[in-house]
Amino acid sequence: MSAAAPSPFAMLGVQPDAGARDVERAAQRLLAQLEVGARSAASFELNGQWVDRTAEDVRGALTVLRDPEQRLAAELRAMATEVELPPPASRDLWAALGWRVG
Amino acid sequence: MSTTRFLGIDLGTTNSAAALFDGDQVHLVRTSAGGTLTPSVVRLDARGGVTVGARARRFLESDPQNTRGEFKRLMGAEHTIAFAAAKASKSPTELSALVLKSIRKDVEDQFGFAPLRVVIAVPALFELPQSAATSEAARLAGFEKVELLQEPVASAIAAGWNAEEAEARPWLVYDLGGGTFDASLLETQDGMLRVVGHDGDNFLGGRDFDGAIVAHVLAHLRVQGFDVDPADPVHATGLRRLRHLAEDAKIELSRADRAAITLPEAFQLADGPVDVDVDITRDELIAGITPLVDRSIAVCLRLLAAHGVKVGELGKIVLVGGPTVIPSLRERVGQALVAPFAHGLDPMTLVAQGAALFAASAGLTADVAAPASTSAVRLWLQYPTMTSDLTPFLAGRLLDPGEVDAVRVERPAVPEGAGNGWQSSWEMVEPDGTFLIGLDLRVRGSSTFHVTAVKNVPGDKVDPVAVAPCEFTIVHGVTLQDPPLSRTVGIARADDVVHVYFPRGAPLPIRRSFSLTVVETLLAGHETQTLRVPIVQGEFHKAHLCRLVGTLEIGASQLTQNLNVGCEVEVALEMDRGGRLTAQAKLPWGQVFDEVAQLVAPQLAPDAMLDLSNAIRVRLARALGQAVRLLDARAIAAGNDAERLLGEAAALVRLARGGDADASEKARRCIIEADGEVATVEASAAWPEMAVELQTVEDRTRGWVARYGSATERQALDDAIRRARAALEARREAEVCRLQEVMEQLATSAWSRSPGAWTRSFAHLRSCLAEARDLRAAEAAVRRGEDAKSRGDEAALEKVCHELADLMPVSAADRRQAFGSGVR
Repeated sequence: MSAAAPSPFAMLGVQPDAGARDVERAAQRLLAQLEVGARSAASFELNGQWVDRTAEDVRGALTVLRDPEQRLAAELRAMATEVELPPPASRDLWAALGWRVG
Repeated sequence: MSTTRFLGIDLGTTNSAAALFDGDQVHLVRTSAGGTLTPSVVRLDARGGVTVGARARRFLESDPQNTRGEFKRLMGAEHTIAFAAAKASKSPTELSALVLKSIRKDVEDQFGFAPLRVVIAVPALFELPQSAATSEAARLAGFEKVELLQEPVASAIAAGWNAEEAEARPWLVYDLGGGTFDASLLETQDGMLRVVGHDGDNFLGGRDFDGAIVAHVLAHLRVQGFDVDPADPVHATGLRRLRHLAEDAKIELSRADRAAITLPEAFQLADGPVDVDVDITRDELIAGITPLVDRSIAVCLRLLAAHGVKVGELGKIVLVGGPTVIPSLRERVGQALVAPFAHGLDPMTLVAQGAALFAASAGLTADVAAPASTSAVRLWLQYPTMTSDLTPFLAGRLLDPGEVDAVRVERPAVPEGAGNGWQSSWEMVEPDGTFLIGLDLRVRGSSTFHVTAVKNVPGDKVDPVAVAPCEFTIVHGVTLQDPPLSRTVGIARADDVVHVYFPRGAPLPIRRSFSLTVVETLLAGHETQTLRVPIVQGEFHKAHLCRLVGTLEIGASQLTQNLNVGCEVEVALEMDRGGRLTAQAKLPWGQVFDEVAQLVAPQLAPDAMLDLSNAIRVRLARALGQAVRLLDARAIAAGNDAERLLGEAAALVRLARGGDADASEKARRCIIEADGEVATVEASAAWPEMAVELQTVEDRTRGWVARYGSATERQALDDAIRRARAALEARREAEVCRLQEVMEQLATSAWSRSPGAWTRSFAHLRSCLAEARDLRAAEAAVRRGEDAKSRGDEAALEKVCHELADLMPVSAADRRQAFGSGVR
């Protein structure tokens, strides 16, 4: 089973209940550090493993957390963090299982 | 004035303006004539001499063959404009470059330096080809770096900067320029300005108000027995001259009750020349422009409704653009939106001011700093040049490592009592030469910090070290979150579904890379085979409903080896802060293709547009019938909008036949918008099916999660189902789809833990083997699957299932609709 992508909260180093200001500050700090090449910002520890982090990842996480719907979905996924979620199966696979797909 | 300066330009349809921000004040750039506006007009004479601005505008009526304006509306289109005397043709991009060059010269004359970097404001709904054309114009004008900013956002920044107190309620920017209308909904939270949403009309502006006056004159002539057909190219010159006089009359009617429009021998008819000598009253102007004003109000109301803001809940309205000075417009907009107007703001230069302030927040200095002293240790500093956060971070790096052990910054006290000084603690430099310091800003002003660096640990004998730069400035004020992308950008897949790369609202810059599967084999060296990866822009799930903005092409003639069906190609899209898009496809063996064709809005011939309109009408009739049966008021309203747009398109196509390039572009936009409205009607008709589908998804996901999910997954699923039902009730389609995806992910997780999950799916896919697009590859995959099954290797079996699913056929009709896409 493939490993799940880190949540946007983990990517920014904030808790799932972090406010908008904390999210923005965390992103500003990380983007500034990544711009100057600070090694301490280029990776972080998640569940005992080191995960790489780029400016693109930080901006992607910021996009998700700025959008109310996407933030909601991220919070719901964060509730199930003890289980690794695989990426969604292709629609053909769902159809292969006999499930109706749009 | 400090030496750090930031330039912003409003490149308008009718007039352009520029402003320079020095960290404390915004200064308007003056033209050589002393004004603050540069008419967006260019004249080429017989000797090839170029005149721009007010001097050119004087020739608009007397020498229209060699004097052109309002080319902004044609930016990004395949169109050139002829100048008879000079025997030359210029694209809208080249003409815009001449206007920008003129402004650049004005900056140099007034402030003593030729700016190299600039922020240029563009309409919020500008599409990628139009944005690309604007960036190119800036490059041609001599700017080395340009960022684009949406006009309503620029206005909002300027309005926020000038506001005496923060506005707690959401506010609206009503930006009616010469050619475009933008409405933006903003809110200020914790000093940060956020664009909640925007809407607009790329073809509604002051020029259309002039058109209403022209229509009044033509109607008057018809009563007198003179029938001037606007679609006849013979009358093009007369109509152009009439339009300029109409603009003057419009401005006059802001002060007077009546204006005269006089043009001798305006038109040549069969019986001879026809003079125009018509009066228009203010009431007649109001009657003519009211439908247009109502159209802009409808856009505003749509925007408010889309974000759950009721009429009367707005804190204020910021008016931008010349036409907003018309008293009747202000009265009608104010009554409809029930909100006060912000005062003390110049609607003609607000956008330029905001663009300059944004340049500061983006750190885009207008000129290049002088090189640092060679004896100092060089630093690379990263900080927000303007921010609403009072405690931002400074990140730095030593470019000459080993010379500094610790760094500190200090903000000296200000004698006039604007707050005490402040000093950070010593921060040790990391082994990689970087450091991070939390700062403290002065409220609502600029804070200049001095950087001090030392060798040896502070506390021992300290050796100060000279660094460069040793000083930097941050302005505290209302700032904007990174400019959001106004339209979703993605790749059109062969199954006519959009693979989203950049969702609407994503902050720029942004880069994404995904692996896509090739749906047909390309033979290396083949002369004509090409794999197309279409790039689209729009909010629809179906690719053909979105706007094609470019195509990344992989030509078989350039391949070093065959590209087989089922191969994975890594496609990366990148968009910079200015909205410039680049694309790259990387093949499995490392070969790279990055040529994006057709980043220009394609023209449609009038006949082709009529055919397209007719096809849309057929779909509309079908979908509307279903909507009426279901008594779906929302869908019926969308259907009525589609009808109106198709009617407008038909009238515009008629004008386009007469050579009116603007009408041709406008007709194309109307048809695309009508297509979108019909898609809305079709989607609404499918709403009952969506309810059934949600119930099906709920039933199946509950089953899997109940049997194989954890307690936390069950709770997450309950939450998702509850919210999906609420979204269904409120008809928020995007939210329902997203929550269904969450539900299916939770179910996938549980299902994949069920015994024999992949064995079952492998058995089903194997039974469909005969349908595979590449039988040989499918048979090989089946053999690997059998082997994995015999070894009990579920992970390998899962991989095989994905491979087999990718080899299943794609519908040819879907592929054709998806701009011939060769990937999925």
